[in-house]
Amino acid sequence: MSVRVEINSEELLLLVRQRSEKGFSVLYDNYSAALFGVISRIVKDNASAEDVLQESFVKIWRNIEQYDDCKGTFFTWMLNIARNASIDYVRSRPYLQKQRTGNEKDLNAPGVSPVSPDNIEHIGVRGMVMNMETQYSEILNLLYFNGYTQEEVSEALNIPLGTVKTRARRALQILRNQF
Amino acid sequence: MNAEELIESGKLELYVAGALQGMEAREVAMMVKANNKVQEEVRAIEGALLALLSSTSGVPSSSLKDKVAGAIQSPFVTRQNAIRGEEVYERKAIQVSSLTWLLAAACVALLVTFGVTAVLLNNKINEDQAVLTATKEEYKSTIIRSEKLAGELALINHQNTRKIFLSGVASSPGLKAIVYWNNLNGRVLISPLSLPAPPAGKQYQLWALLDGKPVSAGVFDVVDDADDKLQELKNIAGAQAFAVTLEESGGVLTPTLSATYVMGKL
Repeated sequence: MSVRVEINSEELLLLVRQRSEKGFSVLYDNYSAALFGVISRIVKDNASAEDVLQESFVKIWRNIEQYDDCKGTFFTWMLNIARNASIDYVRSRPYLQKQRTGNEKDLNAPGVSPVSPDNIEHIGVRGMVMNMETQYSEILNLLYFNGYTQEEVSEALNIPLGTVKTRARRALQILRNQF
Repeated sequence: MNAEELIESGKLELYVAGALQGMEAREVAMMVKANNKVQEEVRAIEGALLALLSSTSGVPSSSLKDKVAGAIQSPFVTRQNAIRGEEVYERKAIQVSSLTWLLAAACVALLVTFGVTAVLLNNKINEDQAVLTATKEEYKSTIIRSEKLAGELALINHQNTRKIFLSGVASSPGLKAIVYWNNLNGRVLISPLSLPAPPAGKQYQLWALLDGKPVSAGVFDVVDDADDKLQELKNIAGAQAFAVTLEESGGVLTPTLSATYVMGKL
């Protein structure tokens, strides 16, 4: 895990907006691993995932003026850029062709794939959520990796919206206790 | 909802995931900006998430940072500029659905176009149908007319057909008519020539005279604008002269001699 430079997001945002070198450096160091994690869940091979990560940073850098803090956090904005870039990538023709000749089992369309034990295992591999109950790990999976809305989570898991919220809260608390 | 309630609600966890949309997301964003405690909580959630997301896969190669730095500086990486501000907050699924709406709208437009075209075509077909019907009728009447003319011409040209000129009597000088009569088959044609149109309720009647006795060949009309005024009347077996009188509509049994208009001998 990369060392996270302690800087508040307003300061970082300002540095990025000024196109400062330090801004880029901190941005990359703080977020590249997390964004790469999200991208890797969708884009399976490492080299392609790195390409998408690069594209995501270029998008973040060039479109920073379009980030609006009235709609969400800077982190969420970057998460969406990375996820969307990954989805665009796996829907692109070259990638689909590569997948067709390769391992078809891995090609589950992101954002629409049903929760499978295989998916959940992905999160748990590193041990962080290994000992978390399935009901919490699956909700983390859908919300943060697959990018489901609360309504979609509610439908996918067949639980009320209220339960989506309380379960998300509980899952995050379990997660936070591990740091 | 106060800060504590918001923190406990689980909304912040969804907010950081980007799982809240529209007004709900904006409301939370406002609370985050306004309240330090909420801000702290969001930071804590993000911190946990950063760790979670970072932990699940390998790390990007160490050389990538320089590569990305280069790409950011490069003027050649401009195609990524196409991203739009709103788009980032809308998820891919929603973009697809707006594409679906666009496609649906296009389909509707296409259907409307088809519909309008069908109606126009149908109108055109109906018009054409009417024109065709009229043309058919015209053709039919032309055939009938030409058959009539051919029949009349054959009769006039027949070797046994006599052409008799009828002239105005003393009370109607200058009037002329022609009778064609075939003495073999008895067929009779009248050409009223200069006979005036009769008054209402009256009709002209043609008579054949044989040995001083009149035999009716029937009544006929005078139609001013008819281009073919020849009319075939009843067959006459024998005649020495023909005369036309003006009679009550439908004809009479004996001619009104005082109403004789034209007359001619064979």
